[in-house]
Amino acid sequence: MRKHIFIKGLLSCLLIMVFSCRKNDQNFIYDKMNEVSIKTDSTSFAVTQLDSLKIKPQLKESIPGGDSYTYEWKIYPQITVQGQSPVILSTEKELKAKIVLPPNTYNLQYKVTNSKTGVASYMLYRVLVNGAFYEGWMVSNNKDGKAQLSFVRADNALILNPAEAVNHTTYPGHALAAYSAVDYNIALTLFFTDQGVYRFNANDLLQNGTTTSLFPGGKQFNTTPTYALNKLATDQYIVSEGGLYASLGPTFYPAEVLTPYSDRFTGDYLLFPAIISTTQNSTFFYDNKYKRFMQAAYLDRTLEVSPGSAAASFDLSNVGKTMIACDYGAQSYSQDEFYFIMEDQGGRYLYSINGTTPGLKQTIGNSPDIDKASAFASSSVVKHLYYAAGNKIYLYDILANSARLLYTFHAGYTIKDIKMLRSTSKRIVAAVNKGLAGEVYYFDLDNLGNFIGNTYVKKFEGFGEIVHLSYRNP
Amino acid sequence: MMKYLLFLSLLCVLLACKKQEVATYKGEDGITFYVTRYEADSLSYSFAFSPVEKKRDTVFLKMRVLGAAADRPRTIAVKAGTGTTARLGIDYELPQITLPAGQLTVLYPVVLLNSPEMLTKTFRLVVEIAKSKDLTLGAVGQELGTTISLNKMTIDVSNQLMEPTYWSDIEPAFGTFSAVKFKFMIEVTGLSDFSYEAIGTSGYYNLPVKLRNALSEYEALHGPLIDEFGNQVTF
Repeated sequence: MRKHIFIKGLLSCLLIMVFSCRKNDQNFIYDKMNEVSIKTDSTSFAVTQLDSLKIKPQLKESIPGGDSYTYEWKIYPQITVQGQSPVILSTEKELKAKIVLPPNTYNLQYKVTNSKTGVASYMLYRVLVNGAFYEGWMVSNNKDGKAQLSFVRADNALILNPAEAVNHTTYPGHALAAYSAVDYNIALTLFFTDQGVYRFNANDLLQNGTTTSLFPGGKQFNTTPTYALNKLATDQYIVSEGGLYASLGPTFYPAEVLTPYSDRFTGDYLLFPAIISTTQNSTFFYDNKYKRFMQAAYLDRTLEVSPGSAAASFDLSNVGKTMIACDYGAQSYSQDEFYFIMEDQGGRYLYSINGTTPGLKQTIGNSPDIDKASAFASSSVVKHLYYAAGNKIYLYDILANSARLLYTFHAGYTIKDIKMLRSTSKRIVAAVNKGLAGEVYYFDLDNLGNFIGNTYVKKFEGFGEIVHLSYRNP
Repeated sequence: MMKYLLFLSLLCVLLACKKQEVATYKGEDGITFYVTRYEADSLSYSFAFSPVEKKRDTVFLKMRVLGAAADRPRTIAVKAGTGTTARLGIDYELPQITLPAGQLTVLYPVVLLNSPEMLTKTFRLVVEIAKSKDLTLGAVGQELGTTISLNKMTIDVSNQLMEPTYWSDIEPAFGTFSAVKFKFMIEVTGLSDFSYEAIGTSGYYNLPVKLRNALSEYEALHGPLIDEFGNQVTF
């Protein structure tokens, strides 16, 4: 009996399996779905931190039919930043959002989802969030008995005395200078006054250090110092009161860029305030006491006299002249050229170093007021050197060894500083004082180095007495 | 026939199941010293490193339990092991301590005494785990990629300026060791520990500048500073 049940059951299973097979006719019905295409005038945007970003996309349906949609604007760093999650900026069709993200490059993903079908369309934008002080001229000036650091941004926005406003404090004493060091893993600005040095985040000017944190043993600043990274970005250097001080740069120790500076490098020297980073291995300095170049290797904390060569155009170890100015010439990844204005009782001279090789050594001739010149700026593109004397700006043609007058400010004005816009070498910026009021002028250059239109293209007012100009690179 | 085969198969399947005994560890709780993979199993101590004179000082050794935490304090005992030249009560003391309830790690305090003989002699103290009423010696060896359990630690103690075990780490910045150099470093900086962990990257690069400046001042007044090997001290 059980055998029959077993056999019947088995047969039933076989029958079910046989009849469960069925031919598929592959008879599908295809319907076109409504798709949305997204268009905007641009796919990349730049916005300043705390400003609003507005994007008005144009949406086009493939089958207009009154479908409803949901929207999402999601932003996240282009390169993942630990601890920074994607942020939904808006769920509206058009974006209008205040950007509070830290300065960086971001991907902005716009998603349009059809509420009925669930089908989504995407558009990816690139958004560069700049700090409020992402690039521009730092103007150190003195106003109302206080030191001030003002900023002329690259988009020509003039921001007077922002360091005071941002940090809710004042900076007593007299301003001396301000410099920034901006590279991968570092964005710092140092503001020097005769009462001390203040360190800011270069992007937002938030103060993150004072003399005590930079120099725990104390430090006086009486004369114009200088501050910069070396070419390899392993060291931060300050030259002050003739001494050399170093802290770590971001290349090998990014976590150490806010650590204190060394004591004054040991030795009998009196450096001109210039950091001559012509090569990646070593940085030159100039000793005005013994009239010779010195150098420090990266991450080394000793200052050595540069080796000289009789075959070179001049002996680095025995120049015999006093340096009064220094500026960049041609720049490249591996090595840079620097020009130096030297002087002795016989006059003023132009020297240069390219990499580690001595270059120019010439007496500056046929140049009116060169003996009175107090500010210098050189081109990185052509062999031109600009100098300011009193209220006049001259162009010294290095190859022709002669200068010509380019511009004269009104009587009563004194040019305090001139600088070249290094990124193009097509703009001279002059800081000019009339009494205790300072002004900044932009002069654009033609291919011959002359001021286009023989006058300035921009003028900025409202500063106190300007003492120093410096560029905050992006 | 098929029926019998089916029953036989089912029977075999059922009989194949058997309870598996899981092996578990049973034994006394143990205790060991331990170091990280980059720490040495020996250290040196010199009273001469201290900027102020000390009669006694304490060196702490890391210990941990092999076993579960207990709800009562447990006694820890250590003893001076083979190779010890230091003298109990004259050069060192090894106090009996307790491991607080609920804890698995503790710092054992080795008390070092500044004896007059230490001015000229270095004493060795081999600190070994001793069996207490609560804890025996735990298993020694290296955890995978992390720490190393040890049954003993060696301490060389003196009142001389001995070369610290970390000196090779800082030699590129401070140069060859000498007792005279080290004494100068202590006097100038007020520090006695110049290990990389203590002075940091910033100190590694910046302290030699401070020392060079101080040495320059010293040499201006007294001439070159000569060490115990007859070499001029430099940084």
